[in-house]
Amino acid sequence: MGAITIDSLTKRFDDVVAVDDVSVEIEDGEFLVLVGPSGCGKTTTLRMVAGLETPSEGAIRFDGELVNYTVPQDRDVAMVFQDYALYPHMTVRGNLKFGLEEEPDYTDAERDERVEEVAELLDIGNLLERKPGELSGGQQQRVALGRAIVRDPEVFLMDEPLSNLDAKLRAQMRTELQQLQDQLDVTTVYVTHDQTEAMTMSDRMVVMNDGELQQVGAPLELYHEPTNRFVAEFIGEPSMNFVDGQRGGDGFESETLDYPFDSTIESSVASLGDGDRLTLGIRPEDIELYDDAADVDVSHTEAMTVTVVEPMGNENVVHLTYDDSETRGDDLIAISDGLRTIETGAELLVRIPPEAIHLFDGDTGDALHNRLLETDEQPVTQ
Amino acid sequence: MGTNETTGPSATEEGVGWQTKFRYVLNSDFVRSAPFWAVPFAIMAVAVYGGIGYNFAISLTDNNGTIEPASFSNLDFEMYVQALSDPNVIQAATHNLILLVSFTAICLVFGLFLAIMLDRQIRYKETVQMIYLLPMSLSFVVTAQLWLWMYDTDSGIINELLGLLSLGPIDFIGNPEIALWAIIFALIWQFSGYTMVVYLAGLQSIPSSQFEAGMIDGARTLRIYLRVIIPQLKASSVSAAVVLMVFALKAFTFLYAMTGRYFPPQGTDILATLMVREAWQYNNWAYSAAIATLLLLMALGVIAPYLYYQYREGSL
Amino acid sequence: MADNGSNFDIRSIVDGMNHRRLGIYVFVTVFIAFFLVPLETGIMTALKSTEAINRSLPFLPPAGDGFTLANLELALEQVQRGVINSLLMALPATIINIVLASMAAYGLTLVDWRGQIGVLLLFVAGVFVPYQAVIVPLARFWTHIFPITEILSPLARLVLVEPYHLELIPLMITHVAYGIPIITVLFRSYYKSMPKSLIEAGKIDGKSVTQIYRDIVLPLSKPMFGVVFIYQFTQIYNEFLFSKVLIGSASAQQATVTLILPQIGASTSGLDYGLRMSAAFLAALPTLLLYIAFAEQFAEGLKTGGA
Repeated sequence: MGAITIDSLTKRFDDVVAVDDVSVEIEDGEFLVLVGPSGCGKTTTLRMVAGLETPSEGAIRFDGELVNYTVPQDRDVAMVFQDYALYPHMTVRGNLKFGLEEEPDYTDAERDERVEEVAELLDIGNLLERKPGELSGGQQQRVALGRAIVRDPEVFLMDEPLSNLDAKLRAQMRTELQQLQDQLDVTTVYVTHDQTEAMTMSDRMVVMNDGELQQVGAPLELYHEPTNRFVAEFIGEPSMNFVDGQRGGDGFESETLDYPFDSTIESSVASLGDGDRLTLGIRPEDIELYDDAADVDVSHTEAMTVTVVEPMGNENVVHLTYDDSETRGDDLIAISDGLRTIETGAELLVRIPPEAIHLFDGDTGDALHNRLLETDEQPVTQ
Repeated sequence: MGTNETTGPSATEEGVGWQTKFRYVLNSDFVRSAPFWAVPFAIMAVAVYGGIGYNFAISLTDNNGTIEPASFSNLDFEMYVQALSDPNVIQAATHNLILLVSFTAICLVFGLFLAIMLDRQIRYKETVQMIYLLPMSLSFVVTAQLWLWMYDTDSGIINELLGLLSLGPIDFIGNPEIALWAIIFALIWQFSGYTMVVYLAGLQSIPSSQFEAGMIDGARTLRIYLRVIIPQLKASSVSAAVVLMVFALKAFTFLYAMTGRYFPPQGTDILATLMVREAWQYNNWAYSAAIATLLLLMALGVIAPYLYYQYREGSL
Repeated sequence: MADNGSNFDIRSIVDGMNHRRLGIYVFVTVFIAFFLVPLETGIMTALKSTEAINRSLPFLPPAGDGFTLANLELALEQVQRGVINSLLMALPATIINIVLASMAAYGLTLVDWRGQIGVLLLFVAGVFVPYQAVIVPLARFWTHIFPITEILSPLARLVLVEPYHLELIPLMITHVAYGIPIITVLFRSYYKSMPKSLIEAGKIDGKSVTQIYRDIVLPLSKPMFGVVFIYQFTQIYNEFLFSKVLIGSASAQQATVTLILPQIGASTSGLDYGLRMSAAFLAALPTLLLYIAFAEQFAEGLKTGGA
């Protein structure tokens, strides 16, 4: 109950293609996050699942059954809107009960009981007689969740539900939502532009850009094995470093960086000839920083100057530039341990470990080589 | 509020019978919302556009005398030819034009002046605004009586005041030379509160930071209004001007109520009064229908550009 | 100014501000007088005897034996029937009108389809069509094509309904029909500003289009109903042309107040202003009171709707 199949879904608004041939299988009970920059088609996809938009092409199936021709009223989905869409003229109780009135299997007393039960679950039992206008943002958010939960639908649809909360509350609600979804075990499709939310909450995430599906997979899969440069750049904060250059010599060549490949890497870029455009990617936390040449394996190492240090407490975000660069911006961004002191202007030896690099086709952006995970004892988690 | 479209997905899905699609269309917002707007729309369309069509049909006949159903044979534009060469029509149209231009222009300027005056933080703004707008809540029948008394030659307040200055008395309504202007003045009294309210709404939508930025730049208040604020009131000006101009074309009640007869004060006859008089005083139904059509065309000359403007601004 | 900074300078600036503000208040007061004098004069005149009217300045209150209620009493006698007729006609007409218009606006805002713009254009254009362009057919319609008064004449035996009240029905329906465009436009601008997600939440909650209207949109448009009621009731009560065309004579039993007023106090010897002003004041009283109580709503209707 609650599996969703999205099959070659396309939505056009006049001449604009909002969603372009997207296919995803969502398992029952799964927490799937649709993530991407604004205008990428994620919300439109969600709205088509809800039935609020009609697909131009393609099919949506709930448990194998086509729902393209089912109005939202009959889809047994619940939705949490970005602005919560609480009915301002009804009390919290009224808001929760409103949708329940359309569920035939309840007596009126049972409805009241159900409302109270859900209110307790969400810790809003004491707010039942208030109107939405008298509630704080966080409380409104809970009521919106409650309205979705109370009907016990097959599917939860959430459209950036946390985006109106302040940072602290958002982090708290993130955890809470996750636990709630786990507990209720209801298929959830969640839309956000915030990759942190996507990474932390989802079972699997779908990255979209320009209406097209970029990649589907578990958060860490997308993090470590992005299929293209867009996904690599979008997932992770701070973003992956990219150096644009070409295939040449015994590896990668660019204005600033020459990077020889070993045999494993060599084999994944075998299709490229000398001079073909290539992009090298490296995650900030994979860059190794050394003060002293004695500590370091000289291969894949460059001397660079620190331009900016952003201390985060647990870590430092270090902006680096090559010695000889003048007016160009930072060449690389690295992350170092928070306890380590790094001064602006310091000269460091920067090592880009071969096992951690990603290579992308310079023209298409497709990933040619991803980092080797087996060499990574502890996968980095956020 | 929604964006569901009428057309279903064009993809060919397996196993979807026409019944399913038909049921979907029946359940769609488009179909379900249709009764909501279609019934009022039908009533309105019959009344307004059916009426216009019927009126046009009558204008092509020679119908006069009793109000019996006209015979719709011998349709021609004779009435229009007659109307366009009728000196009464020409004169009424001229009065319309004078009324339209001067009444609209003065109302806009005066209303803007009042709005700017009240826009500055003055005390009891609400009450003052309410008093300025008060005439708009009165029927033209009532305001016509008030101004008749204001303009009265023997003991009207205006002539009493002129008497203090050893002027007058002036027969404002009886003198065809000035009657139209006296009426324009009275209508401005009634309508400038309306333009003021429209402009006040426009002024409120301009962020006060713009005014403050101007102050910090050292500009004088007058300059700020002329250069920064007033140019942004275009939308308010357009909508108020359209309302005033259309009113200037169709104003009938005030003029009728001045005399209580189909003949308004001499020198103030406009197409609207002429049209009603031709129909109900002389029973020249076809002829008056033709004049009404001409009046409608003049109104369209104002409305059409406005609708196009609204359409382009996307505010329909 | 800055480099000088003496007390004298600062004081002159403060004085300058005061002069300017004073100037504004003088203007404000002058215009209050301008807008109120015709009304004030009318009311004062209504309270004066004919002799006092000729003797005293029009805007001065009646003094001594110049004060009389005779004109008001006489006017009330003549106007009373018209006021009742107007109220009987305007109240239901306004209510039916705004309910229909609210439905139309909801139906047109709920969905967005090609061709809708055409329907909207017809509504907006309908706001501005001069009534003169339809009154000749209108008179025929109610006399020949659809003589509803005759059709409904059996109803005349009902209690509380005088036969002549039925004569008001064509006028009422006319006001409903021609009032739809403006009120629809007013409601539409209100509904367009309502968050879309509320309607969508209703759909997701399993509510039909009708339930969403009844349970969400209607309760949320209460303030707008207030605005359009005040606005449209005033318009219909004050309207004259339709009354003139459909009822005609001021002496008809079903004559509305606007029809009666221009005939009061007129005689061969000139106008009896005392009586005429009394009648005008009484005729205006219902809308005047409504306006004083709900001026804000009236202004709201005006600025989005137009005169």
